[in-house]
Amino acid sequence: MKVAWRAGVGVVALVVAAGVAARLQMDPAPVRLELEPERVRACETPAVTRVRWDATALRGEGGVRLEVNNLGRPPKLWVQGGKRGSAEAGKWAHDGYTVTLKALDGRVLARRTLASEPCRR
Amino acid sequence: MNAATPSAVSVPQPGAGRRAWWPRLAWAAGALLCVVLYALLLWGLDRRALGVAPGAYRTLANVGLNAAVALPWVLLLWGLTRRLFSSLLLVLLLQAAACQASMVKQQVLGTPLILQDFYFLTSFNRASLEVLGSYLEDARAFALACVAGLVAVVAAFRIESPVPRRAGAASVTVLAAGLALALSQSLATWPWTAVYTREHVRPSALGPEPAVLRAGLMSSLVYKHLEVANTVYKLDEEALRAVLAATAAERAGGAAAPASGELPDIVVVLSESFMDPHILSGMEALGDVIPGARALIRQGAGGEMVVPTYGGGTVRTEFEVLTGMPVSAFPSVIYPYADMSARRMPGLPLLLRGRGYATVAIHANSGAFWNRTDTYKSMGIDRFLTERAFREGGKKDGGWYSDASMTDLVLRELERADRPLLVVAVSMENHGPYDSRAPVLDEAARAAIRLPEGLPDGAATGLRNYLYHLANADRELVRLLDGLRARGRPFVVVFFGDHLPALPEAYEALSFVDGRRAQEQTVPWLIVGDTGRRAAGRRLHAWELAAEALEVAGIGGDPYYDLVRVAGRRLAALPPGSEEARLLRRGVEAAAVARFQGRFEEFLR
Repeated sequence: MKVAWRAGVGVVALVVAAGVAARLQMDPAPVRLELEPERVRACETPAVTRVRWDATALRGEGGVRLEVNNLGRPPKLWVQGGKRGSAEAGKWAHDGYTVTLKALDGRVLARRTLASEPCRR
Repeated sequence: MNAATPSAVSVPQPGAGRRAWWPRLAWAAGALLCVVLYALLLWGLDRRALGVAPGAYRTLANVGLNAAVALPWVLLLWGLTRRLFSSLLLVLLLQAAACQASMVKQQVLGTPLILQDFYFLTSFNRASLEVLGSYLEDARAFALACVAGLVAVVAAFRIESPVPRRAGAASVTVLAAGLALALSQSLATWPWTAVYTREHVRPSALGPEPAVLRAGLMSSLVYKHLEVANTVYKLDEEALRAVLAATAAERAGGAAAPASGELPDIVVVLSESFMDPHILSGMEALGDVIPGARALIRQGAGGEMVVPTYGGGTVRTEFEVLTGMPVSAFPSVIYPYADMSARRMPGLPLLLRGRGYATVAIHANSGAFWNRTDTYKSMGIDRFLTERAFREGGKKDGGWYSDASMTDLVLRELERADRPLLVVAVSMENHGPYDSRAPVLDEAARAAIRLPEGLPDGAATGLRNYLYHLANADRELVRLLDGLRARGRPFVVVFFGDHLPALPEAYEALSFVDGRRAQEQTVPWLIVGDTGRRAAGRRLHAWELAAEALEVAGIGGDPYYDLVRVAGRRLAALPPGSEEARLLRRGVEAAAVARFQGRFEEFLR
């Protein structure tokens, strides 16, 4: 009995941990957010980027907003608009440049971050 | 390690002959799953703390190596307790706390946790808890999380059955492996140096963020540890000889002796976060909260100072002022008092003590904070009055002891001195966080502070609190000078801000008049005395300040400070990016390394 109880606790703990891990690794909401490019050569930054989003799967009226920030800088509102759209940003994205798709109530729906690879000579 | 596998979650009976295979398999599968989940959880928390996408830099190598940092500690705990799952949980919770701390630091100071921040754990006491705890938005939630974590760990250790003692050999192997890995990690040797390489972590000279982004917080911390532990401060003899030769003629002059022949008392005041608010757009039109300092600067007794830190890291500026050595001369050093241990730290206090001065430091916080007690001793400071001295008669204004209380102590020490005195006073009143709702002594004065229109609420509260305490600091500067003049003894006061306050929201909303970033702004400096000499009110670096003060005080004869003074003045006259400026700067840094190593005099012969 004791063995079964302990095994049960272990399984529940594993399931909870797996749930939390999955939640941390995925977008918080069923939306589509694409950042292009998602990877650049470090020597080619700052880079021009393009973002496409689709949050039409979300229930309710209203739109979304996109915030952007380079690493270590506070996010700034970039676009506020409909649930689906695209936008192009100027040449300001450095390694770690992050686009955050948010609901109008401030809920984070998805994030994309620009990564870099070293420039080998 | 497989020999140690029986019994954990399901408490199997490993000795039960042929029936024992399935519990072992279940345990092994559970263990593998746990390790994978552990690595993924840690990576997820890491990305969340940094505010980037979960998928950013998520590769097998990054996730695995970021988790492997804790391998020695998991193995040690597992070997000691014979419980793998609980050990993993305990280590993960500690790392989660580190990620959370990194997130708070990122929000307040704009940089993630760095290796040197762990120094606080070696000197943790009530004062550290007060300072660090004050940055928590919700202290109750934090306390609850700590209690919940503790309960979870205790429960896990009670529920999980230990590996049977008959698997003792395996436990010893696990323990030995953990010990060996912990030792090699601590000593910064192989295998860590082979895995956490520059190529893997991709650090940047511009700050810690890129390494954290590209390899994870834990990997970046281990990499920094390996780098710091394996660093030897290299003395650039060529640069040192060049700067000595280039400045020889000017250095020969040295500083003139005191006019009256009497050595002046010297008071060095590091005023926490003291800045000129007029560097922010729209602030000049709203009046002046530092009229005392501004009047002195206009009279030519001060100017702008370049400091090596922003928003925090007081000791970086403090170190430069007190020792005359640029922190940049020691590239792996972040917090000098913690990173650079020396039995004898050359600088202003040791020099003045050698000239017959008594030396005292005053700071309204714990002496253990930033390792000041030990460092001040090695600097030649005879007595260090800490928070305990403030408890008798000191008053708090906001969250910390007031600058007025500090001035009282400075004047009291001067009255009691029976020989020339050096006082190093490090203020506390205007320490963040600035969104604090702690009551202040003069609520009407705080409410009367005028702010630019349209500031967001959070930014307005922070700026208002900051300006209230800034006005107090300015008023206390004037009171200190009045007190010194009334004594009838010669004096020199050195007064400066250590860095800009961490008010990112206000900076974002207002922006700076010169269009530069907060990290590029300067702070005010002043050298005021009645010795008949004054320093030219130019822009200088924190490491030049003591050299200029010594000249105003009429105290010469220290070849290092003579070099710093001459090189600093020449540097100020050169275009910042010029080759000559670069060489001069390199020479000063080489001189600092030689000075720290006790070899500077060798090069004068």
